[in-house]
Amino acid sequence: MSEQTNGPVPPGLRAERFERLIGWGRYKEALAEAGDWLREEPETPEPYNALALAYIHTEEYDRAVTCTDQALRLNPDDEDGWLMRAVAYYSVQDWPKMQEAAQEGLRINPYRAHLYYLLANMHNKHGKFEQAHQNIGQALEIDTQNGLYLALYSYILANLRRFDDSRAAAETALRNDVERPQTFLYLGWAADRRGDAKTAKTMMEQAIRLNPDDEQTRTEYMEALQKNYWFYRIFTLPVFFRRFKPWQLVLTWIIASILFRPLIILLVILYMLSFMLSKAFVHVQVYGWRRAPKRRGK
Amino acid sequence: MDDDKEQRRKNLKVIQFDKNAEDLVESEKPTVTFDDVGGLEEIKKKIRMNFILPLKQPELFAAYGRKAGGSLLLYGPPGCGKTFLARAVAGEIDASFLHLELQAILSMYTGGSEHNLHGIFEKARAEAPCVLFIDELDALGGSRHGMRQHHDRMLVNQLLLELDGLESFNENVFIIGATNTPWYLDSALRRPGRFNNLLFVTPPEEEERDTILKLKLAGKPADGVSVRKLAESTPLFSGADLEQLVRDATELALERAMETGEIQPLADTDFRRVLKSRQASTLDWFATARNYATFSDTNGEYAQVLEFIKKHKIR
Repeated sequence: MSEQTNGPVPPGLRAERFERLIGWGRYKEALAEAGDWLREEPETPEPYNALALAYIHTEEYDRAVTCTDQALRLNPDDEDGWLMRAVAYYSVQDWPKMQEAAQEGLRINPYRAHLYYLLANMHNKHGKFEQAHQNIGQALEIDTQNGLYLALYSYILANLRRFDDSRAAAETALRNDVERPQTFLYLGWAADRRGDAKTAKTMMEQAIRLNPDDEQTRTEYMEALQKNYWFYRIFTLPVFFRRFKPWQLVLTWIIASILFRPLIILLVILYMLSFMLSKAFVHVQVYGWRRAPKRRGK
Repeated sequence: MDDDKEQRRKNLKVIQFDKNAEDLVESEKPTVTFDDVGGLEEIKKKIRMNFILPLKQPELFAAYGRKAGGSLLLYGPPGCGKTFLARAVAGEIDASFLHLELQAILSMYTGGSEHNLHGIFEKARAEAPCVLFIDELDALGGSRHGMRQHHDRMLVNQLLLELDGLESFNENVFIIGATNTPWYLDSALRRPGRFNNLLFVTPPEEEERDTILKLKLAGKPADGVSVRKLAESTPLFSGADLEQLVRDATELALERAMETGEIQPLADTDFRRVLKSRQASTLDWFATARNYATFSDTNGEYAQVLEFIKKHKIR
């Protein structure tokens, strides 16, 4: 059975073990494995990048950036180093530095689709949907069948109010990826933007089944459940209003409150009631008559 | 124990896969039995029914079409005695104990891990009656993303092959899987005939904590310690937590002894001081398990976890 004699673990095996541990979500052990790897090969950037990835997973972003500093000191053209750096800065929402790292990574390797995906995500968060559309298009030109990218594409299209295209992209995404919770989150948000509360709920159900331990996923799921109550849904901005810009909505609200004050007060009260009632229903639906668990710090 | 039994026990052994030597290594013989396992009566009952009695009364079970052998999966927070329980099973049925940590068999060469896994199962068959204990079973199905990788899938397939093979021509081989994270397991592993018996190994109850603490304090100057009160004030502490608690308290007493130059007995205050900074390590596990049980449990497999959480008012 033995194929190796005693001795240090070969680097290939270190990398494989590290990848598996990350895949299994055992980040502390992955950190230890990367540390051992670094002790054996301090002259190469790979173990530093592995450490950076482990730190990203344990949400120690400063340390992750420090590791990429080391990796890039050893090899300034190490594209993995730039990717890790971009991911770390993305996680702390340091957009200028994230963009700089992503651009540098793309300069070295213009076929690194994930960097385009990060840029698309950033622009989408900032409401720059056209730019986001362009970036995710670039990512999909390189990795045409990536379900995660297709799901983000569907979300961006929904934000651009191209609902039919968004639906089509969502279908393609589902054909390619039904294992990643993030894919379902994007598809849920896309459906929500299209005003399709039922599909949004289905997508969020899938996301939470895959990753119930993630707080964001739980929150999104509960909100999707809440929006399935019609008496709450009618108060959340109907699709019709979404075509307006925020300042237009605020202006309309001010004018309406001046002209129809009692009606507006009534609407606010009804909204609050529907919010509390639907939230209570969702709580009972999920936790029964028990109290919700305490939130945990990481 | 009669002579015949004594002789058989002498031949029993514990075999482990040595990560560095990449080979099977024999260690000690299993000496613990169910009498050494405090509490967990429900689990013991289920194990007796599935594992021990079919071996002791094969005719009776054969009449119902049942053969000795099979598999079960122990899950629960870390440090609560899953490995100890598996060893006790081996001791209870006078079987050899093969302990496999999946991480240890991973090989960088294509097919190497599968080859190692097959070697372990072959060894188990050769040593029958044998308990094959697969620790960290989640390592096989630990990631849905990882499972897309061909080599990971191969290892799962190999394990499935070994488990299914068991049913067809390997009697008296008992497979016990253990995992802290059953939700990561590949669903194929949980089909009937594989690891379909899920047993929840809970943290020790007050009585058991009392026993564990007495065992841990044995041989130490701890006459003044109120073990009963200590057991009361350590709900949800795992066996490993209790061991650490005693170790920390002992250190405090030792510090005092160093300062005074005399033996200082352990006192309740030592434990109180330690308890101020230490909480049950199982709490994190329950928080995660609750999320899986609430949101991701389509077959009601983790209902026991929710019941336990409710009973012990864990928030």
